[in-house]
Amino acid sequence: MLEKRIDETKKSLIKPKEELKSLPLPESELIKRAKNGNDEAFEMLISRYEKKIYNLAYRLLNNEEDAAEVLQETLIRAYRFLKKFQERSSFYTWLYRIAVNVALRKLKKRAKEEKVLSLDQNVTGYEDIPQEIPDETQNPEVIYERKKIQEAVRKALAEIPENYRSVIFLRDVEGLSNKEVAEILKLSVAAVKSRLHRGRLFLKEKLKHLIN
Amino acid sequence: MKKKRIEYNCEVFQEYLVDYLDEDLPAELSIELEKHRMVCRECARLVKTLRRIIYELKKLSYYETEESVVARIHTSLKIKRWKRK
Repeated sequence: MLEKRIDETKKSLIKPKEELKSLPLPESELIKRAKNGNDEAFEMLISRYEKKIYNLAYRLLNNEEDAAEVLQETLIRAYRFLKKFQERSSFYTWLYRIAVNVALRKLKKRAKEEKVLSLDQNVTGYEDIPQEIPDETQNPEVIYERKKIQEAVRKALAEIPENYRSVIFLRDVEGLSNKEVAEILKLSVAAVKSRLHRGRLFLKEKLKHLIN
Repeated sequence: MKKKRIEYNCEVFQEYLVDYLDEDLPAELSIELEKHRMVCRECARLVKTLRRIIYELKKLSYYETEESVVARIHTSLKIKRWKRK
């Protein structure tokens, strides 16, 4: 079963043509070629960003399977709508917006499902947050402390209401501006600031045992 | 337009807190809020805690994707199939 899967994976990986492989083509050229139906160019283009998109989705959804689905949906949408990309922003910004919207929709859907489930049973769902924290220093105590804090922050972020979480995530984790967050979430800048403030207060409450 | 006299209490301080933390306020307003922070222990503590939380959020570790994950996604993403969708 596993061997078959590995084999399928190997077969599915599209090898770029020699021309594309040997030349580090500028992004604008790849976009142009991809728009003209060159699949290898599209493949090269997305290969630069797919890990970033997966990471973004994972940090927002805290779930590998969901993150993989978000990446898949994002790439399909990018492929379908590439011709509509007017190059007013960078390709990554455009792809990033698609990914954030796909991830947020998934988050909303999941929140609804959890609400329905919670009528019958006690659903926690956020207990198994993966701990993929790289070593930062050589000091075990420092590493342990950092991990502890990061786990707590992740958990707190996963537990605050979704409308605050998406704003906090985009502003404080991803580092976007209020205006950019407002554009992505289709909110006013004032609403972004308000949610950001409330969300941070939620986090403060949840982390009061650790950060004071 | 005539300027309205504002009393810089905790409520007003919190109203501008997002911009205060971003250091994105007109100098005059920023000074008034700073004056309030210096005399209000509660607001000073709030600023300190929120700054720490923002710092921790920024430092949330970057999740390192394994190559196998991306490869698995590729399996279900053959470009030629996308065209037919």
